[in-house]
Amino acid sequence: MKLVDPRAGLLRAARRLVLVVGAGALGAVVCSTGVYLFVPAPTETLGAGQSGGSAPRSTPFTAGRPLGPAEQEALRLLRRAGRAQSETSYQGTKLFRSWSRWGELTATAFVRNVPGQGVTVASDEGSARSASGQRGVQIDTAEDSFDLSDETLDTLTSAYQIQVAAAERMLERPVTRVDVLRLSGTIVGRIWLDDATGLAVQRELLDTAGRVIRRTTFTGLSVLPTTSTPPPAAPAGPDECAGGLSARQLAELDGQGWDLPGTQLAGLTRVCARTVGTGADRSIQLSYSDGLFALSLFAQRGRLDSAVPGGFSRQQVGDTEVYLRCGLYRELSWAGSGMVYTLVTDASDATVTTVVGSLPTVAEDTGVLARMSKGIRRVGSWVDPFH
Amino acid sequence: MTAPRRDPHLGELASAFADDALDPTTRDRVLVHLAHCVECRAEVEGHRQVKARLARLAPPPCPDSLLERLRALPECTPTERATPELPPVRLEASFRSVAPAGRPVSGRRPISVAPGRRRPSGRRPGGARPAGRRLRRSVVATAVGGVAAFALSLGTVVVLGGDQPTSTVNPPVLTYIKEHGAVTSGVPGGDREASVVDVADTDE
Repeated sequence: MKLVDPRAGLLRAARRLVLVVGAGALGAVVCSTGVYLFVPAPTETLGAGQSGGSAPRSTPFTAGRPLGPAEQEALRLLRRAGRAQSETSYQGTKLFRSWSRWGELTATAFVRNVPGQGVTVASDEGSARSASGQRGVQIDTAEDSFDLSDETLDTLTSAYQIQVAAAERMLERPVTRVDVLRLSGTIVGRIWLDDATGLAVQRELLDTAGRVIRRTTFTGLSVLPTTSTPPPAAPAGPDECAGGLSARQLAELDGQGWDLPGTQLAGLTRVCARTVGTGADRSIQLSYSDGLFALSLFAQRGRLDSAVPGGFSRQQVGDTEVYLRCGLYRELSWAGSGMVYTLVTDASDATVTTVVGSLPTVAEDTGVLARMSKGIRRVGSWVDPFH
Repeated sequence: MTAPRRDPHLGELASAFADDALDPTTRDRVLVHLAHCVECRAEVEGHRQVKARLARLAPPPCPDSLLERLRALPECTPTERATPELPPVRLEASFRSVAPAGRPVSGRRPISVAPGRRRPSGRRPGGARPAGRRLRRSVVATAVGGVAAFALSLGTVVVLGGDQPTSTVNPPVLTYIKEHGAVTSGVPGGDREASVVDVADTDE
């Protein structure tokens, strides 16, 4: 009878297992090292209308061209319009209209401004989408921060020409129309300024085809007697970009995989970059302006909810499917490469299409080698969390 | 022309002969050889003496539980019942050197075993496998296991490189409109009121 020691078999099996697993792991390490060394990390491809680099908001805007006497006069009127908010008490009904190829909207509101107390805006009957038709319900109070800063006007005169167009009458009041023209000479905006108070009583924005895409106008205006001495005007350029992100913080976000555009987007210059919300609701707001049009891009990490939000519809913008709503702004949400973008703007449809087409800037590579490269880097980040 | 050298003696056939495990033809030839070979007779005698001594040894003690289990076994296993009768295995004898001239000679080891006999004639002493075969099996097992471990490691890396589950996002558009109005209010004509109206209009 032959007796076999069971421990000897176990030891032999263990030795063989170690040998086999070691050989396989060694092979995998060799192969992974090869992929890590020779397969490049995903690289950014810059989309249309986007440029690399970033600059903080404090970077001064430069008026790139000298202004003639006519433009200086128009600029003086616009500066006066900015100051009028903090010097004149008024109330009236304001009409807001917006047109785009995806829809249009008309809304009205009651507006009351008292220097030092801010602006009260109340919903009004007549709103095209108002179901209740409530009147006089206070919905918000905006702070008196409507001054046109030198910064804003510098941006405006860098991108556009301005000129005093004509003297007209609106609301039984003498007004002066200031036209904003592209450098090519076509009109892109018109602003009607009250001669007596300097207030802007109407504003129109036009697209490249000359169609009005946005109009804001007083349909009734009463200038109230000033009961007290108005407070001194706020310093030029109130910092609305509170909690702004520095260039270094934006670079860190880029390193963490946030796919964000640079300082230029669709011809507009970034005027603010900041964080909105916290935790899972954290968004990065990047606001751009050329002094006349403005857009804000909000970026979040994650994927877009498949349920279309109320009031939105699924639309195709360029090659991208978006959730879109035409309120007083063009409001769109779309997703790509692990990011969700939401755009709020009064800019033209062409600008919207450009922005949507330029984001995300990184095309997702789903190849096996790319996945291996990402997986190896992910394993590496377990070992070195700071890498 | 020189004939290859062959073992002139019985070799392993001596043991088989002592065990009475040869078929009649082989046995007759062995007897003829023994009649002329003193060395082989002595070897056969030695095998018989060893066998006789082993037979006289007392059986090893056996636990009762083992005996019980052995008694509980059926007389023959289902496998044996299903196994067909095998034809006799022909093994050529090494003493072919002493066989009549003209008989074909094979380099293989010689022995014929009668049907029904279970003589493990081709095995090495102690049932040990050849070292070369064991090494070959070890190498093959190592290679297969290594390839499996390699594939498993790469598969893990590829899976890890896939899209990680991300949270679903529902953009707070109303908040965004307010924030847009707050930041971009400085455009000529003022547009902050529009953001307030737009939010209110959406709320309704």
